[in-house]
Amino acid sequence: MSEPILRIENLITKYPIRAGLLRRTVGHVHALNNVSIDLMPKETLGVVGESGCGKTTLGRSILRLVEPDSGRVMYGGSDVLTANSSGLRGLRKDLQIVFQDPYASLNPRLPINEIVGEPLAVHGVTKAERRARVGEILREVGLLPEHGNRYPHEFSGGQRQRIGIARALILNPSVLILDEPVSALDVSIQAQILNLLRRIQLEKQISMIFIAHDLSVVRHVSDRVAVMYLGRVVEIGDRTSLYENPKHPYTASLLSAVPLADPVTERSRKRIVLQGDVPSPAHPPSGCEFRTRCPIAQERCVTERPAMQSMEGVSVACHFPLGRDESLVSRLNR
Amino acid sequence: MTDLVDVNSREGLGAESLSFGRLALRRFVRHRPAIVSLFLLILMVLAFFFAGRLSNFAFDAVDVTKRLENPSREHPFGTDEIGRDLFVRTMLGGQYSVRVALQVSLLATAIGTILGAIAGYFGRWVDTAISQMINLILIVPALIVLAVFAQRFGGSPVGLALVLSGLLWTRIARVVRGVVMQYKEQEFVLAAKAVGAKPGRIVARHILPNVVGSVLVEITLLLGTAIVLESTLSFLGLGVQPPIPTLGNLIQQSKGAIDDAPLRVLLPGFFVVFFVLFINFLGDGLRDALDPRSKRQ
Amino acid sequence: MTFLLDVKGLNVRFRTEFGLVHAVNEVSFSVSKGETLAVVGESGSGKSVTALALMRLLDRTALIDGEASFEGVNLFTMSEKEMQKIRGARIGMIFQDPMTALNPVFTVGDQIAEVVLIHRDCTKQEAKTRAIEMMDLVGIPDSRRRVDQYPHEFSGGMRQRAMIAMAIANSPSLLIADEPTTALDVTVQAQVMEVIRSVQESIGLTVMLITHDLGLVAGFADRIQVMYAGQLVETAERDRIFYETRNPYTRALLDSIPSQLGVPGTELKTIGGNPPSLLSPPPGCLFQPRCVHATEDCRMTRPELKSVGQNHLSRCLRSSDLGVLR
Repeated sequence: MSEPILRIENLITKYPIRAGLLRRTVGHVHALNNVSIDLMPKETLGVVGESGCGKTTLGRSILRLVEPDSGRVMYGGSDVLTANSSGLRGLRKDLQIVFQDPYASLNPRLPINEIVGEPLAVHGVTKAERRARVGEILREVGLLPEHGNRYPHEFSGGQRQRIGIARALILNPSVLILDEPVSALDVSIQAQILNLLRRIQLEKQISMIFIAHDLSVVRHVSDRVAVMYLGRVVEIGDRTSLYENPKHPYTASLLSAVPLADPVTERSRKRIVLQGDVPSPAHPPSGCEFRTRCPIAQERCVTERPAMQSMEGVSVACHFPLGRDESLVSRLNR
Repeated sequence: MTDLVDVNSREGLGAESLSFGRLALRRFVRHRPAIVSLFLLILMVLAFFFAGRLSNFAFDAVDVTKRLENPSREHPFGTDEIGRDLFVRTMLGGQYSVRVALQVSLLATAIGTILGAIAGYFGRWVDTAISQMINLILIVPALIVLAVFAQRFGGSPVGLALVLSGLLWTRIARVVRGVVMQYKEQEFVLAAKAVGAKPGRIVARHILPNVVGSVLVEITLLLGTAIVLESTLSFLGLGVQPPIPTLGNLIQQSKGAIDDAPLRVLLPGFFVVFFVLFINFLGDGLRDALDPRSKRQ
Repeated sequence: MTFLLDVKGLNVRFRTEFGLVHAVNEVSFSVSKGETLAVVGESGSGKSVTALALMRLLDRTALIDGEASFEGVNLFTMSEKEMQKIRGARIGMIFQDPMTALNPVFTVGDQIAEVVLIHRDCTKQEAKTRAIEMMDLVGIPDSRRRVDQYPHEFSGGMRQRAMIAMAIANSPSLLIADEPTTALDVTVQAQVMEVIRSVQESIGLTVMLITHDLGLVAGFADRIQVMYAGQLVETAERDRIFYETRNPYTRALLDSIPSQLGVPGTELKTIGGNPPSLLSPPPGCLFQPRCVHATEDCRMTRPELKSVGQNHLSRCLRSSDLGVLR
């Protein structure tokens, strides 16, 4: 059993809500509410959830692009969150991120060479060496070194995303966080990028955290998957167990809501349609946050927040998790 | 790899590489009012600085025998009430007005950009402090404050420039602050952070180049405002004092003659109006050319 | 068979600073009363532009030609005034982003009632009653109270429901839904599709659903037409498109979807390259540069839409020798 390469412990990130003339803090949005996750070497951990669940904040908090309020992020024996500025710069070589929006993640004023070469420039690599490295990495992501002289607006969405990936890889990181890397791309281009990521992971043995809202995509790339809701992880486990036998009613509902590109299956499925909307992260419900939409919620769920429990290889935070081979539909029929 | 980029496909990836600057230039050149205005503006400024030499008269050459003459070949704009050639005086006045406007713009831009960038990038109490200072300056009725300060310091063109800058930097600061705040949240800035870049590098390399466009537009507007303010103050006798002529105090000197010889009063005024008009068209053209939102189809 | 909407030879070209962009290229199709037609394609396929052209919501940079017969009248030869009588009354349209489609300074009730007031001669009170009725129909709870609320007090899913209410308030015969669920969370997406389905049943609506999401279409459409680079490349009854497609692009599109049922972790079949430039499209088949079945002939000759089965059309030179693509 190997050691995790990255340990996220009890991470809490809050955004203050300011109101009034003097812009006083009237409350907090708990974007991340006590999140703990381990990332194993060479694995791809998928993180899924809907809007407001905190998955994007998670990615940014790990790299301190957003400063968490408490918790630890352990990498190579040190805590990322307490590193000083030079320590942090060193850590940033190993922990990199690819962003969602291919149109906003590249500086429109700089040519590709400079964008992809920036990480090297920041860490003191010479210009000649940079040119060589940039050419190499552009080739690896499926572009030509000559494209280095062009500007971002000359490329399509998929190509820009490749450039973003190139930038993240040029320092040879051991951990790569991908924040919705294919959400803004067409399906056919998405497939190209997913294949690219898979190849890169195999070649470079990188550990990845793949954040997305598209469950099919996450299933395709992940070894393990974590499901988040309103700032907490509600279920985390290996991909097969999670997709075939979800334990948490939210996971089951989420999977049920995903439309499948297969009419016969779609027709024969029993759909679970959740009522109501995702509660505001500024006013999370008491007890279990999912209880307001949970089809199997009971009294206990209002007063007591469920702790993470281990069962059959997955961890789930629910008072009444679904059992082995039990579906939400069959539970409801009981 | 079949999904390698086809260099000859699609929008211009086969053609010459177009940097943002070059694209903007192309768009600017197509904006007819802006180009025409730029041309006429340059003509006007050149006239101010060189046309005076065409005449033999000095700006302060008094000749009481030739008072209040109408425009003639010797005196293209006529003479004033003590016989001085108005053409030379107007051209010189234009010079000083433009000079003051330029000085004001440069100084205000320098101060405004620095303070605006600091406020926008660092936020929190730094931003609050600078923003409140800006608000304070803006609340007070400009003309009155200017009048008071101008009285004490503004007799010379340089003094007036200093006074006007002290007021007008706020506009630039606001614009720069807004743009910096907007770009600070952009993902490519986060990406630079994620790679380990220090704030200095981020601001200089990633944020400021995107600010330049908006600042250029604001400078043109500032030039217009500065020249109008200068003219107003000088007209009121609170700005540049004679014998140095500016378009403003030239109007003031001739105002008594408005019934008999309206041209004398209106001529300097025309120059101010046209200057501001051309400057505004220029600003329009710049704004359209630099609009970052126009993505290629 | 009565066609509610019959489109013949629709072409839309945009004037841009770089030239003419041929966004919709000779598109012809018809929609029968009561059916749900899905128009599927990726970005740049022209699917949204088609809908906007039909509604005549495009600006003056768009050059439109062709014919669109709706309930017997040609939409393109009408005056703007006559068209205004159709929009919101005979044809309803809902858009992708519910956040920006609603005016933040008016109440939701006012906005729904406005659609009624524009087209019917009735009092404000009557319009408001109708608005509440519509809100009930689309499942907005507590409608009597919510009718006086502002859009920012509604969640994303509810705003989309409000948009649907606006679109059907005058009992139109056709509803055009342009990517109605793309901006919504997946659990809310399911709710909204349920609403569209139930509304369709209760007032007998014909629906034209425009989307890139083939999963959505699998559970919802009767017929599907696939668009690529401004052209219609295949149209057939739903199951046929999924299980018996005769078009290489449709096949490639289906293959590139990471399915919940497929084998995870394997290489996805991609479509190499990029979509063609609509400024200067290639002379032959528009999909040819990326098609695994392409021949030299495909590069030179532009294929026409041909019948390949019952109510099944495909645009491919090789459709007869390729047969069904699995």
